[in-house]
Amino acid sequence: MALFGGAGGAEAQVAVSGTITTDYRYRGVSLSDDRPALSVDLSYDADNGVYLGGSIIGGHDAGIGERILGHLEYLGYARPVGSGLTWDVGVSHATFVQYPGGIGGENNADLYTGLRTRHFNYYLHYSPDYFGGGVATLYAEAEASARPARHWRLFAHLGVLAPLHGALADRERAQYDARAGVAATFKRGELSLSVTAARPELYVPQRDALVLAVTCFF
Amino acid sequence: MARFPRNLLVGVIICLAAVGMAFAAPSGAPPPDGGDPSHRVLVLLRLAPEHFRPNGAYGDSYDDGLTRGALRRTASRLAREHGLTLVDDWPMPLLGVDCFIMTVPADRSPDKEAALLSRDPSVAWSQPVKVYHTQSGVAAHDDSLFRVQPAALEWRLADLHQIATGRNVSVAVIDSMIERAHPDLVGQVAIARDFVPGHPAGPETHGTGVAGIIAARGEGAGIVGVAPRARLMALRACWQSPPGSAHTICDSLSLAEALHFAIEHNAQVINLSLSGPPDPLLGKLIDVALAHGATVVGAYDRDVAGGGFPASHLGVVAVTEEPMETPTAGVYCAPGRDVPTTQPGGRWFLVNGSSYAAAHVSGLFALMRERAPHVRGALALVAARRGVCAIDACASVLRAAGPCDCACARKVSSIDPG
Repeated sequence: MALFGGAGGAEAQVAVSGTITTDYRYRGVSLSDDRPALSVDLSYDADNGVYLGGSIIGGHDAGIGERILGHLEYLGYARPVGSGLTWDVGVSHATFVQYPGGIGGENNADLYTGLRTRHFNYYLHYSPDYFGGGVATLYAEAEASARPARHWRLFAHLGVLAPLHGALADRERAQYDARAGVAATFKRGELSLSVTAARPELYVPQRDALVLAVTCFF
Repeated sequence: MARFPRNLLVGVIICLAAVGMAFAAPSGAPPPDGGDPSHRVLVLLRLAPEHFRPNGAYGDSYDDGLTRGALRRTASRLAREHGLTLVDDWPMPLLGVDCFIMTVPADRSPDKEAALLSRDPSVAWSQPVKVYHTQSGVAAHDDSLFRVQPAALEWRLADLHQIATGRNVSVAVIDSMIERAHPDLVGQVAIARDFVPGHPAGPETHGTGVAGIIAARGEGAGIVGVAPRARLMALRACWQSPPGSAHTICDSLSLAEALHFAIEHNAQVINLSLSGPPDPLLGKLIDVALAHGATVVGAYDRDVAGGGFPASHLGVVAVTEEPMETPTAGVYCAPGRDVPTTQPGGRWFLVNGSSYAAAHVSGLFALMRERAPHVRGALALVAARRGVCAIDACASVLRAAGPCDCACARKVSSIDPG
């Protein structure tokens, strides 16, 4: 804690949340076999802009049944740069026991950077070896959100994954994923309903999905 | 279990959980002070900058639930340690803080509690909730016709409207509830929000009157607003107290919420026809509004040294009603005696006070900003004569709009711009 301590008027923040979702999706790809999943998230925000966190996801594995499906970790730095703009940079790491197209556990490490405004986020992720496929990739994503009323939020996400050389699975040059939905926010949580899709289908067939999720903040 | 019934079961569980959260009781018992705004403190905790979260979006710059959950725990701890009751919170991303509202027991001083809370290293700052009063006099019997509007003669309203009508200029009226269905105000309100939902809803006198002076339609119904084509934001942050009376009050929190909303929604002119003690939170928000290019107009209270806040805040255009026997530097005068304006119930009445003088000037800035969006503060106004506080409205609008072959220009040459 002392490493991240700061001047008066600010304090490091630890946040914990749990989410139940009808389908756990990572960049549009279902990692819970189109079935419900539970994730627990922990994050730490220092008062100097440094942050780190992690998530554990449990759900249904097609071959084995209910188990821990994977975990995510991230470390970054966010800094307001004026006029409602925030610059963000960091590294993330994802491990999934069965990422589509892989055999056994697959890891992916990303370097990312992005800009955030009040209603829009733009990020670029670089992976030197996308989930062990031997392909370096860039993933670009944009998100938008709006609040038609205090406790309601509309959101949309668009992402594109492209190899820096060669191709993704099935000789595809890029994969697009999209998500749009509405969320109702409460004092200690959020309920969201969204539609998510990915094109083209890589590795395994993907269904477009209507995803319902509830998140509790502790 | 088949996949579809399993997903359905999980969906039902999710919905039940959401309903449970929605109906979860707020922390603590009902405020022991019965909700008296003057016995509350605001505790401002710093919001961490928004950042990437790989497991999906948990909100936006207005409401990152994960961050606010962490701050809520801090606020609960503070309330527990200080013997206060946590009531609610309101994020203010423009200031990078989440504002927690806590009730102070009746036998303790909000000022002292705020000072104690401010010493906690986790607190950005704390302040008591202050009360503000609108600056209006006793209402007189109703009357309405354009020719009896003081601005019609003194400000040559018809001549002004040859140059500008405030078209599409956004004016935030932070006041009591406006009667949007009033014949003179139908269609004039673009956005309406209520930041004091705990008080009885329904059109209220002061806000309706201020709105009418700024933007009454002027299509034969009754009066003509100074800026009849302006787009109003009706932001209710004040209420009649007691209900039905002419006395209107507001508090730090409701005003802060309304100001934050006005800034976020790009209000070009913000009318604050009220006065009270200086307030750090409101002061910071006014500074943000000014930095965003808004014009902030405040009613000057002659009974208070310095004119009261926000009129005394640097950058705010301070306005009082005419006449002002001994002008004060930096304070402008505008019509504020026996001014006909809109009243709830589809009626009109005569009003008095610097509240309504300020409304005139807000409308005037809407005219100027239609033609010159860069126009900002008091320096844009042209005094009627050197050394007086009265405004030459034609000269002010002409200065913003540039030369024209119009009635205002043909009669302006004899006026000393001051």
